[in-house]
Parts: sequence; structure tokens; C-alpha cells
Amino acid sequence: MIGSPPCESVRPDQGKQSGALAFFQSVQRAYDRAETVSGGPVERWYTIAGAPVRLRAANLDLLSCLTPALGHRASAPEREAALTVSLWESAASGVALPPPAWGLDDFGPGGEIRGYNNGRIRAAYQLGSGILSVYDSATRRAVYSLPSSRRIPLHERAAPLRTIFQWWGAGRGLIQAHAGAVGLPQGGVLLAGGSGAGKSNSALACLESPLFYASDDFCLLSPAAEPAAYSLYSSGKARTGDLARLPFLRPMVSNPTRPADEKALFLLNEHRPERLISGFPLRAILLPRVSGRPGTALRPCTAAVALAALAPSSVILAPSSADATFHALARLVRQLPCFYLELGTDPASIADAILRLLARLVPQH
Amino acid sequence: MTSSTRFRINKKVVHEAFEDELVIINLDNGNYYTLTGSGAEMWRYIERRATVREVVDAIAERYTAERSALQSAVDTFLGELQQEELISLDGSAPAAQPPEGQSAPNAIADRLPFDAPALHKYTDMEQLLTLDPIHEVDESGWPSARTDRDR
Repeated sequence: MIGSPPCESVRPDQGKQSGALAFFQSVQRAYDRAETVSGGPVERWYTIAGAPVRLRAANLDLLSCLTPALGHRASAPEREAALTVSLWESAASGVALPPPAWGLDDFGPGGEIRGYNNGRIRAAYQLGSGILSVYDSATRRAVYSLPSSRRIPLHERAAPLRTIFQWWGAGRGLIQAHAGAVGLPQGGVLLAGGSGAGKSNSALACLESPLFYASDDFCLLSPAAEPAAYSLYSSGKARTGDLARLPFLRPMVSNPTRPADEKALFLLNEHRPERLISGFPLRAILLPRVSGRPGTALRPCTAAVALAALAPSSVILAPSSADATFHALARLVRQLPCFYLELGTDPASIADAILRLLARLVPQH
Repeated sequence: MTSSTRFRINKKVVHEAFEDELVIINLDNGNYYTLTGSGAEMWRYIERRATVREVVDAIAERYTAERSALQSAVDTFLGELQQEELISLDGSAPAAQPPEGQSAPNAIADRLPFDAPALHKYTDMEQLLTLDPIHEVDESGWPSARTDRDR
């Protein structure tokens, strides 16, 4: 049953920017209180798409629980951060979120807050998990709050701070793609397709090959004249049934006591750090699909087919920059050769097919 | 709908045209579509704010078919696009000049056989836009967090 709306709300459409900024500042002040109460801060630095990112948490537990998927991008502190994210949990600090600056009707699908997706201040709230993300694009500061570090949902452990990284990346001309990415330092491929197409399994299968792993689900793309993919997370996910085909993954499962319908989560930086890569130039877009044959083959597809595979989930998960994301991906599929990756039943054949393709596409100096 | 009716592509629709294929996404509901052949061509004329008559005229110059069959196909297609909330009636003033991009009419011998437009619809993104109902709100106005079961 829906309760009564908050007594005091500053609706964004009544002096949009000032109300939104006031809300951001109130959330920042709440973090500051949490930091004081917790005796923090604890800081960690990362390099994402070549830029220094600082995470500043009110307590160490939160960072330890939330950030393993970012571990492969850990770096030394810099003088200045391109992005600073302040993180706190209500349970440990006793500091609650300030009241929302919007009404119940403004909680939109996918976490988006209506009215907070095209101005200076961005906000998103995950209804199920109670995770709030707010971002000030002018100062490149974000605040992230969750109820408890002991109840972080699987998708958040696999892709922490994804929404904040998407907002920040958009400001740097980067597109967050819902895609896998594997390759070599000289060039790699994007693995595109909807849920269940085989992106994750294809990327994970390549861990046992000379190919390096940048992503199984989300990565940042630089849609420049020479497009590139940048790794965000060193995580991977697979359905329990898929582990039979990729048995080398079994020792890497980080959630062995998971519910039956929950995917297995792998934090690859803890097991195969040498197979992880920060990014590479993009050479092709591949659309995995199950063939039923033993070996994996490549078959050209049109740019339109590739866009239909790559764009929908990427733009739906980036509501504040859907238009820019869509058109950037459209340019990408025109720039790069696109293929169906007809997956063989032999997992090793997947990497073999990709390596043969890269041998053709990567310029030989 | 009359012969002088114009349509506009809805604001929350993004689209990209390739040689003879089109990809369309409705950002409001996550549905996405592909169009090929005559459907892709019709879309291009709609985008340029052609009237229904102008769309039929343009298609008639490209394809071999009775005009009545083309009219029926265009009307059906426009109705389908409206039903999918991809286009809406455009009540603004008509363009002073005819829409750009109308190439010279094909000689009859060069016209293509006509296939009615086929709008291929995909709905697998709907789950990403499903809004969890808000059951309870805490004392500060935030929806109550609940145990989240992941996909």
C-alpha cells in the first residue's frame, strides 16, 4: 500500500536546477555525516578509460564488499580525480538519506527519476535494493548510498556504480555499451546481443585462450575515428547450467550458496588477473548465436542487424543519453565489420575463431 | 486519415537508416523494430513529412503494383506505425517545398515487384522497463527496500 508522499518536496519542475542542486548537496552532507560517524574516509583510486577515479567511502566494509569487480583497474592516487564518488551505507553509519526531492510518481522504470536525467544533476534510485546514485556533472562528483553492504544485489556486485559511470562517461564522450569485449592489445571485438545470446559465455570461454578479457556485460566505448573499448569490470556471470561447458570456472564462483535461480558470479581479478585488459582498439562486432555444430564459425551480417543486436539494451539502460548512445552505436556498426559468431559446442573453438578474425583485421606493422 | 494527412515521428523514437534496412527503438516501452524494402522507404518519406498521397506517389514510382493496392498497403502500414506509437498525426503547417530525397521516377521496366511493408517487432527489452510497484514508503518518503532477487 503506498504511503503518503513526503511532507516537503522540492519538485524539479519548480525551479529545476536549484532544487536538484539542493538535493545533491543534502545527499553530500549526509555522506559527510556518515563519514564523520564512521571515522572515515577510506579511499581507493582506479583508472577507468585512462582517467583517474576516486572512491571515497565512509567505511572500509562497504568498499570491500562493493568494489572487487573494479579491482583490476586499481591505481595509485593522483593529484586530481576525473570523477569522485562518495559512498556510504545507512545501516553501518546510522545516517539515513534526506527525503527525496520528488514525488512517488517520479520513480521511473530502470531507476530513472523523472526530471533528473537531462540537467546538471542526475539521480537514479533502484526500487528493489534502495540504492541511490546522484551525480553533479559540473563538479564531476557523485554520491552513492545503499541500505547495507551486507545486502548488495548480484547485479550491483557484478557492475558496481554502473549508472554513475554511464553518466560520467557520457560527459567524456564515452558510450556505455551492454556488450562483452575480448581481444589483444592490438585489437579486439565487441560481443553484442540480448540476454541469453551468449555474450557472457563467449567472453568467459576466452579466458582459456591467448585472448584477454575486458567485459562480459558492460564496457565503455570511445566512438572515435578509431573506436576503442575500455574495461569497467572484471566480473562475469553465468547460469549454473553453463558451468558444465566451462568447468574451469567452477573454482572461481564467488557466490556458491546462491539461490537456485541466481547466476554464478566470478570476480576474475581474484583468479585470472593476467587475463584481464584495460581496453583495446575495436576491430569488429560479433553477434553470438548458438549453432549446435562442434566448431565456431563467422558469417558476415549487415550493420543494421548488428545495431538491432547492440543498441536496444544499451540505450534502454542509458535513459539520460539514449539518443546520443543510439547514434554513436549506429556510427560504430558502420565503421566496423559485423559478423554472426555461430557458436560451436566446443568452447575452445570460440576463441580460435576470434583469433583468426583478429589476425586478418589487425594491421600488421 | 486523408490523402493530405501528414505524420511525424514521435519524440521518444530513435531510428537509423541503412541501405535498405531501418532500425527503430521506442524508448518509452523498449520495443524495437526492423524494416526492410518498401517499409524502409515509406518511413523515410514519413520522416520528411510527406503527405499520405506523396508517400503513395513515391512508392508507385518505385514499385510495380496497382495504385489501389499501394494505397491500401500504405494506409495499413501507417495505421500499424500509429498503433505501435512510433508516429503521430502532424497538425503543423505543411512544408513549403516537397520533401527532399524524391529521386527521379523509375522507368516502368526498372520498377521493383512490390512487397507489402513488414514491421518486425521485438519485445525482449520490456523487462528492463518494468516498474516495480511501490508498496511501502518509509518515514522519510523513500520506497521501502526489499530483498532483491537478481536476474
